Amino acid sequence: MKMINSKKGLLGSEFVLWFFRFLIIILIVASVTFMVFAVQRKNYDVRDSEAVLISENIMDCITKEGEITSESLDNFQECINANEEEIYIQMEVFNATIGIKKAEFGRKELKIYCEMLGDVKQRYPPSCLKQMYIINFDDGFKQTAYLNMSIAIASFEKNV
Amino acid sequence: MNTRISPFHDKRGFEKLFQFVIYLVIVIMILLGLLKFINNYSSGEAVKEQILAKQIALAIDAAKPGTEIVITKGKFLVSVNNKEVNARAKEERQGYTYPFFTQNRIETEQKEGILNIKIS
Repeated sequence: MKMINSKKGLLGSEFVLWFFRFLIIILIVASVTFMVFAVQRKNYDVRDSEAVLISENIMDCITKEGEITSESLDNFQECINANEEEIYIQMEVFNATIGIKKAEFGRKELKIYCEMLGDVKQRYPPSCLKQMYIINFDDGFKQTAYLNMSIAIASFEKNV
Repeated sequence: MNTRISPFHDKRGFEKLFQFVIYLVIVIMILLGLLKFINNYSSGEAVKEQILAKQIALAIDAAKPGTEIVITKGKFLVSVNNKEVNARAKEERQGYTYPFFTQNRIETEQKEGILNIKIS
């Protein structure tokens, strides 16, 4: 009681009171700003739709008169205008006669990230798509084959 | 003897009132600034730019040659080059740019509030 009654003590208690008043305001402003930024930073993820469209575009592009040739399979990357660093596409054509014929494009490690998706929690997971088609494959000899297409899209900066 | 003390006659009381008014003014100014900041962000120009650019890019990717896409863009400024779509809410903004992957030829035509995209 004696301290508060003295001039120095009074000044000290006033200072503490003002300090906490401003601290509360600063905390409110900081938390609101943080929340607004946290909500704003979320991107609208379109990679799943993009992967489906890429798959359709590639199939339309490499199929000539209902057939896929060995040459068109090897040059499938010419069908899309994609950044090599942001995407990985793997095509596997297989049947009992030809075995497996592969063609790929882009950043290989994205495929590994896709395989780890269920097991490891990733901060920036890629978007992954696997599709299987039954095709007429012309490798000098026309035959029916399966085509497995795997697509992984990174593009984290714009979508995550 | 009349001993009524008003804050204006009592020096200490006047100081307290003055401090409180200053504090109140500062708090109101900060809260108004905060409201303006939230309002700017929640009007969502940045989000709308992003959604518009991405949806146009997806529409271009999904379109087959011979398709014509007509977009009512309203006040937004949309530009499409051979690789990217850019959407801006205002002239002075940088806007949002999103790439598309189709190899088809793109031609655009701007009319008031409408953007025509021809894919060939």
